[in-house]
Amino acid sequence: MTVIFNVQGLTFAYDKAAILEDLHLEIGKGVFLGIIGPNGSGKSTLLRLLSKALAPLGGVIEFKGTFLDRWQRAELAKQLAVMGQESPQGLDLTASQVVLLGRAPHQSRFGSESSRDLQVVEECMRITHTWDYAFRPFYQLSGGEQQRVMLARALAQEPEVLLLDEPTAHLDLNYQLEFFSLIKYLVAQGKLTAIAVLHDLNLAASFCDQLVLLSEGSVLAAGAPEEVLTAELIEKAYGVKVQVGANPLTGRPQLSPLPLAKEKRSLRVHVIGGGGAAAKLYYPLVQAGFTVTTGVLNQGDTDWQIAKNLGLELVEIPAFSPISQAAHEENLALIKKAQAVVLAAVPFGPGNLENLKAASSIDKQALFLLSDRPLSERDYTGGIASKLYEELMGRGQVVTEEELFALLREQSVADEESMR
Amino acid sequence: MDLNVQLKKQRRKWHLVSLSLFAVLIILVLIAAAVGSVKLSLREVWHVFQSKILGVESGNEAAQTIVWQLRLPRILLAAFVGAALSGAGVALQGLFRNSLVDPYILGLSSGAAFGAALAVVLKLSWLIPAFAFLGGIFATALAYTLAQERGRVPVMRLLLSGVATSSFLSALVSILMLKSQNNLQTIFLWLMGSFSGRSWPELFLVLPYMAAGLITILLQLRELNLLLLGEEAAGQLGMEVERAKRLLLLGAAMAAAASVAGSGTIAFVGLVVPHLVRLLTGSDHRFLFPLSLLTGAIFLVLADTIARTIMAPVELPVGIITSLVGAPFFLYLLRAGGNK
Repeated sequence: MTVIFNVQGLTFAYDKAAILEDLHLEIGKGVFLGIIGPNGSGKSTLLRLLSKALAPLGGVIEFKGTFLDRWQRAELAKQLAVMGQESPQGLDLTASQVVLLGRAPHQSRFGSESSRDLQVVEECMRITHTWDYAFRPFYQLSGGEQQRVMLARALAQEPEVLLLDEPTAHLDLNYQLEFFSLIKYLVAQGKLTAIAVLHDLNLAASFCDQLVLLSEGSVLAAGAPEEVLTAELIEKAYGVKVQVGANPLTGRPQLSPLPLAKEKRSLRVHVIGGGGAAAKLYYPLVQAGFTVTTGVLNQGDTDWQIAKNLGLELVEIPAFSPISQAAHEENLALIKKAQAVVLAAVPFGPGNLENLKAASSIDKQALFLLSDRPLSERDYTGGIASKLYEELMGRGQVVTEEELFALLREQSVADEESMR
Repeated sequence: MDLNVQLKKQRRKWHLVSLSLFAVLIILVLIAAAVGSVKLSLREVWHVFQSKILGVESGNEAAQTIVWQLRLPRILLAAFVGAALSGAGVALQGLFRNSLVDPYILGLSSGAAFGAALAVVLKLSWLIPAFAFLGGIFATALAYTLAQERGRVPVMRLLLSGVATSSFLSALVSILMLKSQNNLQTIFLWLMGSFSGRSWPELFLVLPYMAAGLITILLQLRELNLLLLGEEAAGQLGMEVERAKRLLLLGAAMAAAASVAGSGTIAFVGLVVPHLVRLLTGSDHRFLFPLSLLTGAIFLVLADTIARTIMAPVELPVGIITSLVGAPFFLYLLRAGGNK
């Protein structure tokens, strides 16, 4: 691997508080590297140091084997381009004039634009889809259009290395994807090494070959996305618990933040689920601060997957197998401990009829029957389930999801008051 | 759509506009040389030029003296001062990325005024231009030095230290004016700016400095364009930002200080002309700068001609005309161009 940037012991501070402290990093040629980390971790500062916009307080940066401070700016600009976070304001130039400014490192002081300059400008504007408004004033363009013009300008430098600071802050989803696809394509063609500061971890995971996770001014982890985006490292850097799954399309890591309960409530809620009927309830219930248990769920079921991801206490049985006596009793035990029982709109067959029976074991617990779908549509037991359900309707309340949360909240407030 | 064709078209357009403006300037100079307390015909003016430049015999001695000794040097000085102030305005507006900046922003006018007032008080009136020039350069250098921070000069600090320098020196000027009541009018008239009584020696005295200043700026037009993207981006495009800033400041200070030395502090030209031309050409300094020089020259020749004829035989300080005519015209343009 050819090393493009070699950073050793880099230290930087704007005033007294160090932004970067003893940072070590090697960046190889021909990669798409993402720099991630929480606000204030020094991502943008690192990028500005790499571009020589700032000078380090301590340590060294080598660019292609030569110390960065030995590089002439004019020479550096032929090999290194930067696209910043913000586009310049009120620029009274046309888009193509702005992109032409990117040719400055390749022009002599008084020479006018060569035909090669114009050719490069047009090409860069075409691949960034900005050619259509090449002759419109820059200040009249939308934020997203301006950002794509700024990318064209950076590419017009024909750099070997492109530094990007939050490049898609003003772009909507489709342009964001298009933007990164283009960068990834150029990198894959072997034309470019791209180093981007990114906020969106999932975006970083799906496009970058390598990630560097900064925390408090030094490198916490570096490597392939799978190595960097682990629940432990993310919690360490961001202080947030996440669930790391796989992106359904790319297979790259995909992070989902775990619910943060604003306040803890004493209420214990048991959800009878299965067949994906309860999946949507778990997250908001945990977020509302309740202690949530659930059962009996088949392994591999959507409800089971999500309850597992959220780390809920649950009763599980192997996929496609009927509820065993042991599982049923475990379920009853959880119901006994709960103050409220929620019966999701589960389809019932002979295999999980026990779950319906479990619901009727309630004693003083409040019972809520979710009304998403009438039971007749989900009764595969030839009427047995319907009979049991009718009996349950007399003992509990049939509610919508919205009503469920309102009632649970009421109950928990009442409980907490009576306990005082 | 072809980029090459578009750029050529654009360049041809601005070359054409420049040539037209140059023609307008020449015609204006001829007309200005004809009008005044002694009215001459354009033919008589033309004969004087022919005899002086081509050596063709011309009988009219009086016309020769009036045109060649009295009017022409003054008109040319007005043209050069207009060009120099406008060029300095372009440089500083580009440097500060702010179209409300004028060449006097860094205390140059107060410094020059202080120098001039000092010369008057010290009874060295014949040295007013030199004192004014040095005062202006000194004030700008002071503002620049005070704004330095770790080898860099952030433009915001520069602007603020310029304002502080300016107000400090203005206070000193006021003290000098109070101290020497009998010279009050000399100083006051000088502050208003005027071309009255200027002839060849004054012109040749200040011309080299103006030219040096403007050429310094001319060499930095590419840098001014890159600065449009912001200082950091300009640096990342290979520009030595601090060096360019120093050169631009030096060029602008020389051009403006030489103007002030030649004619006092004429307000408004260096602010309005670049702004006005930018409405037409956009921000590309390769067009903005030369067109501003020509427009500034035309504007000030016109203003001076009005100043010396409108209330003849009394001459108004030209600064009054530039503000009186320039300000409303500028406001009109701003409102008309407001939808741009």
